[in-house]
Amino acid sequence: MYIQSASCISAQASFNKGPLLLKAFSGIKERLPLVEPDYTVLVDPKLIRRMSRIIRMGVATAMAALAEASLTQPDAILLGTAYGCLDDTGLFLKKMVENQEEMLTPTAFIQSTHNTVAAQIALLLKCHAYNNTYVQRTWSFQSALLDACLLLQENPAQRILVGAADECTAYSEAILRRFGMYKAFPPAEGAACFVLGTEKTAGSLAQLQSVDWVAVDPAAGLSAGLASSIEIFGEKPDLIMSDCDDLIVSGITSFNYRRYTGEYPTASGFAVWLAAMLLSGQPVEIEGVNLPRGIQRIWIPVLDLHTAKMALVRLTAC
Amino acid sequence: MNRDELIAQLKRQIIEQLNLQNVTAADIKTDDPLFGEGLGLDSIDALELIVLMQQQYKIKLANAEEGPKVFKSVGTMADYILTHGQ
Amino acid sequence: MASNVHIAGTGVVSAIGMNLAENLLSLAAGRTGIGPIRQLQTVHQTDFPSGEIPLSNAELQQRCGWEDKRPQSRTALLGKLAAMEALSTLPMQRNGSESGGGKPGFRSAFISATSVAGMDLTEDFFPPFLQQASAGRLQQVVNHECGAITHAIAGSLGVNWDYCTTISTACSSAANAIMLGARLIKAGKMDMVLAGGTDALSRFTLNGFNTLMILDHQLCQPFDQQRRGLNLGEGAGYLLLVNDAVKERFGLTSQVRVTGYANANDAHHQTASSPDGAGSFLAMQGALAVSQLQPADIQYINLHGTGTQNNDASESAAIRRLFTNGLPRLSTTKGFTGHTLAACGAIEAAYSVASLERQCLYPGLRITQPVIEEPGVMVNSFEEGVALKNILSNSFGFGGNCSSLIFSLS
Repeated sequence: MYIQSASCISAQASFNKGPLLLKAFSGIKERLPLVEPDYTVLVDPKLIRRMSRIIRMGVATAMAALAEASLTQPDAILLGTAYGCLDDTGLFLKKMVENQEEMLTPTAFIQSTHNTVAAQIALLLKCHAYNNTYVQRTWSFQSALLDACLLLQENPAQRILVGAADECTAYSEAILRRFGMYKAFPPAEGAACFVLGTEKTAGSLAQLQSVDWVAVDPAAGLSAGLASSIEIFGEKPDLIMSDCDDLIVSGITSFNYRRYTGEYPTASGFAVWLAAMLLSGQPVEIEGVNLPRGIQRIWIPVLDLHTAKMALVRLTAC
Repeated sequence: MNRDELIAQLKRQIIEQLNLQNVTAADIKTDDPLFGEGLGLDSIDALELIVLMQQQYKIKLANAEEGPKVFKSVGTMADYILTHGQ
Repeated sequence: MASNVHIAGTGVVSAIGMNLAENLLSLAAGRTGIGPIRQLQTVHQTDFPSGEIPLSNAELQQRCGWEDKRPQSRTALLGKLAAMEALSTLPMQRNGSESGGGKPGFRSAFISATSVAGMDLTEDFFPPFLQQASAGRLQQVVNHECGAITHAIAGSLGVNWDYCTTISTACSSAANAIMLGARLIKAGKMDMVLAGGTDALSRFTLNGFNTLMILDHQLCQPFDQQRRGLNLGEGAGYLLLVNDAVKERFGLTSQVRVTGYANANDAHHQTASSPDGAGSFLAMQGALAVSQLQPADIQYINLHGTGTQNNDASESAAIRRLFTNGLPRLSTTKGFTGHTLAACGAIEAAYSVASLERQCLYPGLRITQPVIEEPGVMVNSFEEGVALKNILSNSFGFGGNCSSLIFSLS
């Protein structure tokens, strides 16, 4: 399976083409500002008025990924989002409380449903194809990827749009801070979209080997889990991008991508985008990371201690 | 207030309620259609306008089907308010 | 050769029953569960009849034996009840040693669906929180998100799931969950999948639907020419899907298989369906293609049939376009349960499976002037002794998400 194109909006200048210099956001407490494109270039301004940030980001990266892959009608649209449309949800809740359930307006409610981003993309493209939204916390994007892999197994001729998006709002930030989040990395948001297919097109960036769920012994930790995965898969990655610090796995270079994205559940979408950039030979500098030469294989694990499993995305060069 | 003042007020309220960025009151022609062509509003906007009528003018449209007639243009909205509201 | 997808267990909880048997009795008796709201605190308690389950959260929590004694989201409680019932046909599932779950032999997945998730508690958190950012009890928002509810239910079932995920595509969610479950089994990735969905009534949804002016102030009359809108409902439904190997290994009785499924998008409008039901048509047509059946092979459709002007018109238009050589029998059960949102695809799948197993048809309620007027098409009363082989079930949601499932007698 090939990542035929990729697009990403984040706190880095990830949307534009060109050499990448990723800055580390250490010691920052406030929400990271997004580096956003001019959405009016990508979407009819009359429609943007109703779109919250997550919808704009999702739509923009989707349109960019499709354009880059020269694809007008994908055979499926899949999206992963942990929290969905938080801004509209908060807006509707606030009005509901303030107005005591009277005289509420429909736009915020309609926009608050989790499948709004995927639906909006379909609407803009007039795309009748398979359309799904996964909402499984930090595995939302991986769930969407798994469905994409299944679809390609069922029909290898397809070309699939798959992405991830999450936004951060004043309410969500305040609440999550109270839960102790954002101690290590600041609140943030972002979106990433990809076109996947079984054909190696001219612009293909990387190969998606698989997405798997692997049991991890919580006592032993992620490093041990990855070490045993190396045994299981019979291969060793050149680089590991995870959401954990201090990984020590057989001398493999690893870093925590949240240092460059800030904290949001589907930041692994950025990691897959970054992996695609690295594997396709784009010039990339990552502050604080000594990238090995000739990267051919990248692993992106997302650990969930609760269920003692990690979702592992394995990518290789084309 | 008189009809002209009401029309001016309505235009500002519509822009705010529907979050019409980059549209000024001067851009909205009083007798141009609001839906379909003209401003190109849709059925979700119609529901928003129903709430606007209720909140700002205490007029309750019993069912959404009355909408197309009342909201044909800013002019028809103003006339409806003048005959039914405060 | 891809395995069959057998339905080996079913669980349902809704306004018409706390388990499948109770639900089926109500359906056969024509007894609706829609009425005034009593449990949910809302100013609209008497404005909008709803299919509310007549138990408090505390009662539900006790009934499902939830280990954590702190208040849980109603969505999770309903989900656990239905999930437990669906799993109950599997022997020894409590200790996980025979039911698979990571052990060599059988791989199991839990695919759930929801739109409300923990919002029922979050909306109680919000009033004090809005006054002061440090106010509001955090316990009420710890499981706000969809994935958290799924994890809570998954963890409560005593099975070590190999894979767990949640789908949220409005009213087609649970149908999509069942579809994914079937595909995982056919692809040989999973041996057993518990798939379905759950949604509880909440002020957020009730008020949200009210802003769209599609709620009926009376008992709804779906597929009637005078219909005025929908009644909301709540509930949960799960199907236990197993492959040939698991069915044989545990000697499970299963008379029905999932044979067809499809997911299409209407791409017309955010909430309204296209007049000709393009998405609905493609979903039904796609499901037929997967099952390799012709329209004439379908004896009955469990309609999405919400009772809104828009859905019923659009759905019937799509059905007429597809079933050009004669309409199958039709009814919607939403007149009994209300519209259970993300759960409806699974609850109605359970009813469809039961219909096939029992060779019976469940009626639609309160139709005086049917949208579809041909005599003998709409099912108006409980019918037994009906020769049924294949049933189609529709679930169409906001965002143009249209899904259809086909169930067949083995």
